[in-house]
Amino acid sequence: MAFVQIRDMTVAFGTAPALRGISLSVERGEALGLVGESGCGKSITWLAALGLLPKSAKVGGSVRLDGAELIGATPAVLEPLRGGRIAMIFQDPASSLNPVHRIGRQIAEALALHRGMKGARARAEVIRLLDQVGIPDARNRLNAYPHELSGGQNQRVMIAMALAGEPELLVADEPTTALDVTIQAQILDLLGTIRRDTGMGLVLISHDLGVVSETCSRIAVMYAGRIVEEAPSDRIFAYPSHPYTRGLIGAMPPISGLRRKLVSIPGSVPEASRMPLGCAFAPRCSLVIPDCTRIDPAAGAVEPGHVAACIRATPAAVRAPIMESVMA
Amino acid sequence: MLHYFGSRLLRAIVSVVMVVTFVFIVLRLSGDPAIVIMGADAPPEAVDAFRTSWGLDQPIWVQYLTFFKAIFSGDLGQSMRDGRDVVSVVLERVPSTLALTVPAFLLNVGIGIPAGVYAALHRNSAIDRFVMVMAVTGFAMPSFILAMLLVLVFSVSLGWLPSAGQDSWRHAILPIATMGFGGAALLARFTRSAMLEVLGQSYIRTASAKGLSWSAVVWRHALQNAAIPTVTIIGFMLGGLVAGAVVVESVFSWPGVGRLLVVSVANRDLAVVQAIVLMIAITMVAANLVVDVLYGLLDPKMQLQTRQARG
Repeated sequence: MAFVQIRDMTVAFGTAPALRGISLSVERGEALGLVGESGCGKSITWLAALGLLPKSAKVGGSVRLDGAELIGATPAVLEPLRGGRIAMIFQDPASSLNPVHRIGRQIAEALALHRGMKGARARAEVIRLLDQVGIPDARNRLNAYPHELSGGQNQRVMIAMALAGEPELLVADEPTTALDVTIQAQILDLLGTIRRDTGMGLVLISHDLGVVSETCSRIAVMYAGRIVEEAPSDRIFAYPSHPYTRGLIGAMPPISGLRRKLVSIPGSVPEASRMPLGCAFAPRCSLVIPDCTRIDPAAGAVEPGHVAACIRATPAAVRAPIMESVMA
Repeated sequence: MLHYFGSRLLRAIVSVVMVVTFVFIVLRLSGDPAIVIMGADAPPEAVDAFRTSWGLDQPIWVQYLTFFKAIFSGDLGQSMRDGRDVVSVVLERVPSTLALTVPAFLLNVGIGIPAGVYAALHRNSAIDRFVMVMAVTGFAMPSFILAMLLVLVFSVSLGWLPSAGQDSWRHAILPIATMGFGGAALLARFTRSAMLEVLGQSYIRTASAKGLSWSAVVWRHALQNAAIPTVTIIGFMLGGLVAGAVVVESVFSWPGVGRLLVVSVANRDLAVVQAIVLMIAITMVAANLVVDVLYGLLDPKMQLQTRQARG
């Protein structure tokens, strides 16, 4: 059984659907990438799973952690899980840390909650955690306030705080987006090292396919509140089946080889309150056929372990011509 | 730190001097105390003698310099009505004013902050709407109208409470309620918006994601952050307490500093007015200094700035 099993999860704010039926599973110790444009529901999926959305959000479907249902669970059930079994870090580390508390205190708070550590023991563990995430001079730095640290250091503090509860899964929501490019690589390396050392699972949420592909073994691509394609990382690059995935790959600058013109995806994501009939991507898709605007495609297996939600994503038959038209 | 407060203190002194100067000039331009105090039909020789004895025949800048020289030797002058030292004339009224303003201030804070926090935590609930309606009402209604309404209901219609005077503690209830409600309304509004602002911040989500219970998130992470803007408003209120008593004391015939000010302005009792204005200016400035100190305690970014200012 998967560690986390999300099934048919829906989220709506008022009448506007933010998630339109997500099914996703994460195995113990696995690194999964969740990719898509901003607003497609990547973050909401995990905020909803941990019950962190405001009360105005209507959440449906099922999220099971080791078989135990989380949707509709009481705070008494959810609170020990948050940070204790599934930890989350966020995009802008500077604003994600409390500006009026010292960083040591913020980390120690998680230690007290999940490991019952207090006083000198907690302090020693805070120093060890800050060391582990690569904060120099941890013994003095724990007395710093967030505004005295750089963005990259604050993100390391966030990671230390997440590690404090010894979680089995870390959900990193755009952890490098607000950081300088050079710092991005350091943070991704750090996440990789920690995973090797602790066996912790990782869900890496990003709008950047490149960031995800380096770190994760499996990738799920989201579009407008749905998962449109899911496959092992190498396979998704070699055989992208959904036109949106191909668009994302086409928009990535190649690291090596010939320089080519980057291809952008025309149009923009439909508003949640004005979802088109049929496939949500159809208005932007270069391969659209009349059926696309009538049939809302369900996720189907392209091959074992490779799922896509596109009526044209059958193997072989349409792949070759699609490649040409998108990449041309 | 010393440097920081030194510069604040200097600024504070400049504000006080400006206020006192302004009042000094306006008072002398807006009416002749000799005529007001001696009466319009007093013999001209008597009026002239009065002017000479108080130095009012001197040019205004001479009067001003004399006044300032006296202040620095601790002499604020005498009341023109009875010749007593103004400091004792004003100080004997201070306890009466404090008897109203201190309980009113405690009501402001004791009702305003919890109401604002509760409203923010239960946004759009019936209680939130009720608090906001009360807050807007209290904010929009001038205190003398509220005072009249309270008198109408509790003194005239119900006959429960006296409407004027200072004979018993029951006389203090309506004036305290008038000042307490207005300030509480203002503070509830500001606390609510400060709290809503903080609750929308990313670090609140982090605190929840860490596994803290909602009450721990509110107590440990939200309140101190929301306190930073709220302290500014409390500082203004603290500074305005004596000034705010002017209207309420007049409506309820409460013999405090505020009523003394109104009477003294009407009588052109210059030294008394100047002394009271000086006192009000100093309380406002002192309240601002207290706010600055509290800022330093609540907001670590301020501590950094003071360290940089000192360094």
